[in-house]
Amino acid sequence: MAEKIDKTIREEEGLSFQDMWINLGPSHPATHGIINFKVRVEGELIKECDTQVGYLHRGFEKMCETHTWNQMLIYTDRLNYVSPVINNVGLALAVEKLLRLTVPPRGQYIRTFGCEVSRIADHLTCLAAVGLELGAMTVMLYCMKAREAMYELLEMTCGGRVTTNFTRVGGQPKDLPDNFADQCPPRFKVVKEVKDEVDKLLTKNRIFYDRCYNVGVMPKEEALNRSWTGPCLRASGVPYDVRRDKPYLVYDQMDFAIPVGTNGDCYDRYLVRLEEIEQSMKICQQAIEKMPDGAYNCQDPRVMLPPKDQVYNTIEGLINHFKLIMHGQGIRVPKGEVYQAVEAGNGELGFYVVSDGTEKAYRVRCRPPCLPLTASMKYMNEGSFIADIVPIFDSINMIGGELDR
Amino acid sequence: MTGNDKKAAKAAYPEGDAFPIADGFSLPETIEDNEEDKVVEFIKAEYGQYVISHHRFRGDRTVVIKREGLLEIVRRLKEDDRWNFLMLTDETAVDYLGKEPRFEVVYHLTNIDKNWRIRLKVPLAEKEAVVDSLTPLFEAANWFEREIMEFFGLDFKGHPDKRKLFLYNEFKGYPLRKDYPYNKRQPLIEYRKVGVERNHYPGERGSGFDPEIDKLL
Repeated sequence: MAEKIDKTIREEEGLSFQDMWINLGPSHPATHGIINFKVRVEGELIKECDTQVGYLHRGFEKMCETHTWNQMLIYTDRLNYVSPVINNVGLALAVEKLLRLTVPPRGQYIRTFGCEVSRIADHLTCLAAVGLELGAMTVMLYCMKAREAMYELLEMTCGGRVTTNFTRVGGQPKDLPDNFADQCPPRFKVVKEVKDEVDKLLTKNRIFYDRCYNVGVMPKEEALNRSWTGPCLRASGVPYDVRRDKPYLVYDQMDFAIPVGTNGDCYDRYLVRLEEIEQSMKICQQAIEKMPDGAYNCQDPRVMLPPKDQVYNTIEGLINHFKLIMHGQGIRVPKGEVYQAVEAGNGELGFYVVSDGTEKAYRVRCRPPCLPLTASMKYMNEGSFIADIVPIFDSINMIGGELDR
Repeated sequence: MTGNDKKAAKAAYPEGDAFPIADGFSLPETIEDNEEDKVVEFIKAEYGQYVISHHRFRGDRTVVIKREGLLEIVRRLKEDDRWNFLMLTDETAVDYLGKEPRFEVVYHLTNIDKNWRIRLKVPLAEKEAVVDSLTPLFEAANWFEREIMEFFGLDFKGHPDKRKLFLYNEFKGYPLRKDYPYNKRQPLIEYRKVGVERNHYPGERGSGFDPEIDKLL
């Protein structure tokens, strides 16, 4: 495409251009996340684009090899820091798959609820950034208001807002607070209102539509070839969702729809995210309604820490505590390797875990959903205009912590 | 736990001691026969000369193959209508220091219509740590393989872009290898000079790639 336009301009206008290399980033106000695009432009047309990442590389995978299984969960908060619960649950599920362990139903429902609340926060953040960077600051302020409501729910369940450390290997560390079911409806009402407001502000907004429609088009075949997953793949017309296709937790008992786009452009990605907020709220409500009573973790002393009163008052509890906490002790995970995928805010988040039978992991590989998306920036940018980088980059919702690990 | 699974786990880790049986845990190990097994059978039947071993563990199917057959098998799995593994979900490597062969490159392929997943593993000796790149088949392999190259020091034959992805050029060593200490410090690097090509970047101002641009300096 670039060559075509290039030729046309040169021939028809008789103009001569000097090609120019421009750095967009690493910290440009219109890119949320630290990333450097080096683009060769002719006029405003991008003819070549090179994406440089790694500004937030912290060696997550190496760190995991020197920490015990529950200590690793804390690091997963820092992967996708706008939806950390899903990362926590993803790694915990991978370790539990190695352990052959299922969490009791109540624990699974709490996790499902947490994941969906987190997904709403993730999509709201993405919409906020899209709005802000395309000039609609109101959208950002409204979305932050709704995200605050979601963070309050997370705060009630686990005490954290951004770095949640929501779950443990083996289940939830504590139960939901007493009147939790009453706390949810007013907060979901806020999200619903904000979602409708954003819909009114952006969906039929001429400026927004023109800047997103037919920009950054990713056809179905190309998207599959580039391992796209999540809302971006669904916007390209492939109804693939790990929650439905490889159900984990209790998603197979939930009733929800999977929105699919047709065009695969930025506008479709925006619409899919907007609709997914609606569907996630539906799942949350079902999870609250169906929430069973009973245990919320596996209560196996080899995996879960004993309650604190046992640790302080009984010798058995103290020994149990030390057997899981002291240096050289911890959960003994059988030898083997598993791959566990969950549907994160941006797509399939996979953990490939290799254990050698000790208390530490031999290798933990995180398959970040952002990596294939960001790798495709070259494909989408080339042939479009400088100003299009902003909506394209917003719509894939790159998260630096997850991409660079 | 069934006998099959135990055997499979032992085959995967021959030097390992007996597989610990987590008898108190609530989920019994069940291996239901599944259509993914047909894929394994197919690879075994058609490309038997390349298959080193295969096993299933916790519901994941793994085929360990020789590196010579990788491109051929993956191409068949992708393009054959029966299998349709259109997505390379993940590609990574593991360093088994002290074992021979030392490295393993791990591929996860997904058929998104039928929800099949299969894992292919290619063992690589340290001396000949080269394997065919999957970039001709999957565009996604490009960045996955760049990441493996810089973190493990493996080489991919036919990869179009061998620059580092996350680390800087002056980084010494391969950090995800097991013999790289986690607390190793890297030497300070000198200030980069203007006019010296940095990051193998053709056409950047001052790189000498395009004299027209350099004149503007």
